[in-house]
Amino acid sequence: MKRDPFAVLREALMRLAGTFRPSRSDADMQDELAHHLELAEKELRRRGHSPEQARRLARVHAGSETQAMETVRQQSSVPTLSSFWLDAKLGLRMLRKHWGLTLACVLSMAAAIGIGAAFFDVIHTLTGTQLPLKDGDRIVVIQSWDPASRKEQYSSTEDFLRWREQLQSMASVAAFATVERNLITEDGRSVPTIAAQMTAAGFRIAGVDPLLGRFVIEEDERQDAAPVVVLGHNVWQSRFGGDAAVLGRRVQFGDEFYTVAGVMPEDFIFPVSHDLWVPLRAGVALSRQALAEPVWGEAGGEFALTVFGRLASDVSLERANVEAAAKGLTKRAPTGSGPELEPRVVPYTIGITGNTDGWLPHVLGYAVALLLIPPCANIAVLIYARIVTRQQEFAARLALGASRGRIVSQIFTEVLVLAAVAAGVGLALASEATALVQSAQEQQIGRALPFWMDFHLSPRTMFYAFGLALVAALIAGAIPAIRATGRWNRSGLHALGNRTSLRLGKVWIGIVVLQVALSVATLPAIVEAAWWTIRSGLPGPGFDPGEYLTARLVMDRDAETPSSDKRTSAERFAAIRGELIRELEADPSVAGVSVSQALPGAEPLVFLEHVDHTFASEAAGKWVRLNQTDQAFFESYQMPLLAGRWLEPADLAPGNTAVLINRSYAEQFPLGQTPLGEQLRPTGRGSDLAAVWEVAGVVDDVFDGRNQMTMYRLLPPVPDSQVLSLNVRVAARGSPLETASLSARLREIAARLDPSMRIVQPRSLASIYEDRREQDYLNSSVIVGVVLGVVLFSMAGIYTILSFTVAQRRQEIGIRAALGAPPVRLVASIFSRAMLPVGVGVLVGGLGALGIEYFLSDVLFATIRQDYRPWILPAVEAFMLVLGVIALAGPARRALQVDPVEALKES
Amino acid sequence: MSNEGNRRAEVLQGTLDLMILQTVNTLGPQHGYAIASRLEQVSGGAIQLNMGSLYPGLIRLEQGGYLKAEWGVSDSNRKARFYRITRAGKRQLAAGKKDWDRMVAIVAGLFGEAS
Repeated sequence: MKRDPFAVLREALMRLAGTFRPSRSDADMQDELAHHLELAEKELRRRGHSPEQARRLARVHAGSETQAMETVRQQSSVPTLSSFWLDAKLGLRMLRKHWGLTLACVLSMAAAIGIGAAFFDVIHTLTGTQLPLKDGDRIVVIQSWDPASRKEQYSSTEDFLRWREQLQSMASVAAFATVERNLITEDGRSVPTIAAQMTAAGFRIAGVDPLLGRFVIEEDERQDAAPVVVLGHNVWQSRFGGDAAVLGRRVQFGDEFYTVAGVMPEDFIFPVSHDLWVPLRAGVALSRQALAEPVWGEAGGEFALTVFGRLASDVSLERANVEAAAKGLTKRAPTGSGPELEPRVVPYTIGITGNTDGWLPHVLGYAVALLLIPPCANIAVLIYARIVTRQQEFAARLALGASRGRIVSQIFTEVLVLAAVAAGVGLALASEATALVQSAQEQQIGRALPFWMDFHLSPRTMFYAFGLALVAALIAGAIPAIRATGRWNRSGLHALGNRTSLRLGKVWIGIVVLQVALSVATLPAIVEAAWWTIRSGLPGPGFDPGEYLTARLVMDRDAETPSSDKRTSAERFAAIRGELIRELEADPSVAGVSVSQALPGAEPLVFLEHVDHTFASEAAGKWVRLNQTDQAFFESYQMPLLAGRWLEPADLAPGNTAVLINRSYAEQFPLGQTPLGEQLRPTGRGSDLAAVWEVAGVVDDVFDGRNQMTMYRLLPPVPDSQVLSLNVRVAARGSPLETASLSARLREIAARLDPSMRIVQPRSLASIYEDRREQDYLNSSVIVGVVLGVVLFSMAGIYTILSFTVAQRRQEIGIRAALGAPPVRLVASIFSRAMLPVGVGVLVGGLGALGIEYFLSDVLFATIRQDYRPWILPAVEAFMLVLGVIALAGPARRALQVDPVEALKES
Repeated sequence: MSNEGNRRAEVLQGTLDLMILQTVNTLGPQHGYAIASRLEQVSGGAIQLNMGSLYPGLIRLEQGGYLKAEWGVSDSNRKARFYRITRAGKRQLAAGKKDWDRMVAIVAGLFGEAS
């Protein structure tokens, strides 16, 4: 009978549905079969058979009820799926029953899957090329590419104009440059704001309509056009309260006035992450000016002008490249004097981020899957051990006709359930982690990430995570199952009843030894790192960080009228800064103001060598934090002088090299030796700062809890840098600092003194410390998690080995007990042989730990270690041995309970 | 199972389905035992369906939408499940009969030629 496709589909769907919820219950079916038999019996009786005969014959003709039920069940569901479903339910039950094991396995797998998924997602987000714009894949960047250094160089205005005029393969060509200036509104509020100077075509390429008014049009690009500004949604809401009548209002941006022409919709931060747009006037030669703040990444950041466009319809990227190459670039320098550049057309995201479209990140994304191997190997040992304890169950199933494949698939499914739960937990962890990565990135660059980077876990990542779960189940479930059932196949079914038939092979013992060794080798380093991280979070700073407000003080570099004299601009910065500080100090609510190159705790690191080799025992020198501060800094942070003298203006004279060091650094000097007069030579990066420095005094630590070695130099009155950290201390002790009002006041003073002086990211020190503490807690909880995982698995591994050893020696123990061996001797004998792998692991791991200490300590503990704690390694080794003894307790007790008669019977 | 075995099962399964449909179409709604008895009767005892073949067949036809099963009361006043042919079942039966007739004609022609 040929069946129509709909009937086939209908049957398939109903079978699928029946797999999970049978349409007809077993009871109903049994009732129907019973009715069948009743009628058959009745008929046979009617034909003259005795009731007894009738019953027997009915069953002979109609067949077995059980078999009929089985075939009906097979017809009602998808057989493979239904056994999978059964196995999964069984798996869940086993997980609940052995919850301790489940928890350990799920947590370790979840950690590995979570790290893998987060890494995969972050890589794909950062290197993603999808633009959430209409026909986003048609938007490209046109670069001036230096093939020799494989780097992008700046695009000149001339090239931009030529490309705009001549490129046939582009539907339109636009350009933008990023500027950050104070945006000063009519109410006098001044806030640094990032704007894109963009040509009108840029808006059309993005293809997003304004929410109010209009965006920049070609007329705005003319030199004599009245300056207009288009507001981003954020700026419109925060600075104008979402006022619908904002069009036509005047704002000051830097030192120029603009009229508001339009407002863009929410989430529009094109071209990268911009809140404000002003016309790019093509005639202005701003493109050769490097900006103080990068646009994003390397490519867009170094130079101002980014040229982008939309490909004409039916034009491929390759054809656009060919045309651009044929047009060439305008000559900038005499041939041979500069790099030979060539135009290159690349997808938009690649052009902005400077990511090479290489395969490495993607391979890395998949390579993190290797993290799964250690926890899976551990779980495999545990699963193998559990298979052995469930031997009788499997023996029964094999005897009833289950195939080896069926048993393997049952064990695999059980582990798959476990791995799927772990993948769920791992994805939840990954989602948290990617959110943290996003906020950390945004914190670091001080603005939102590019508009196309969406850190929500993508379906692809979820797919990847469940793929990892599948791999994990194969490693941790299928491999032990295949190995264990393979042994049964070889030794035959009769061996299954005997608990000792399975042996823990060399591979499994090797894994446990390796695991113990790995624990011992890495634990000392982990313990030290954890201790440092936790300790720094424990005590608060010795002062009230709520009393401090910090901000970055930045002076605009005027791109449009480049000042050739750097010195003049530095002097102007110094003068305005001095004025700002004087005004602040005159404020009765301000107790002190100081400036420094970096915030305490965020200073750059330099590597210092001691000229007369005081630290002869040390290999090279030390990584030390270096800050340049004014004199008021130490008073402001309440750092008393402990020895020597303060720095004075005279120390700024050429040839004078006096520095201060903090207490943590001074404590590194050998006991009884004064660090005063010690000569320090910076090497490597930052070595151009001075030839040799001499310690003039010792100050107390800044109590941020980290006790990092720090050195201070005096900030010159006219520093080279146009970016400084401003530290304001408020007088009213105990009262919480009103960051908002004080930063508004700061900005008001700065804007009044000079609109190009920006107060960037004003924050209370308390909130900075709060963030740092959160980070510390996060780090330490990860470390503690790793430690717990390592310890848990070592313990489980040791326990597995010992249980096996005892089980294997049941008969021997029984015979010895029967011959009158005292229990102490028995335990000692079990102990000595069972602890051998543990001992070997501890020994190998100890050597590993010494290796790590010898070769890697400079890298691992460069900035955190005050002194080497030699007791940690023996403590860790003792700890592992104690764990071994604890793990032995159960098996040893079982061994002593072995009944000699029973044990002998087994043989 | 070998290919040949597969093919044979398909033919038998298809024929069984057709016979069940024909029975239910002729007699009206019937329970499983009645269908089996009828087939046994008309085949002169040649077809004796056991429950392991009959009921999966009924369920298969029900899943394909050719039969509809409903609870009812049998002659012996007992709760029983009755199978009724659906419109799709009737169409399927007609198509099946046509195929069968054609096949019989072809085979008969072939054998006639040979003899």
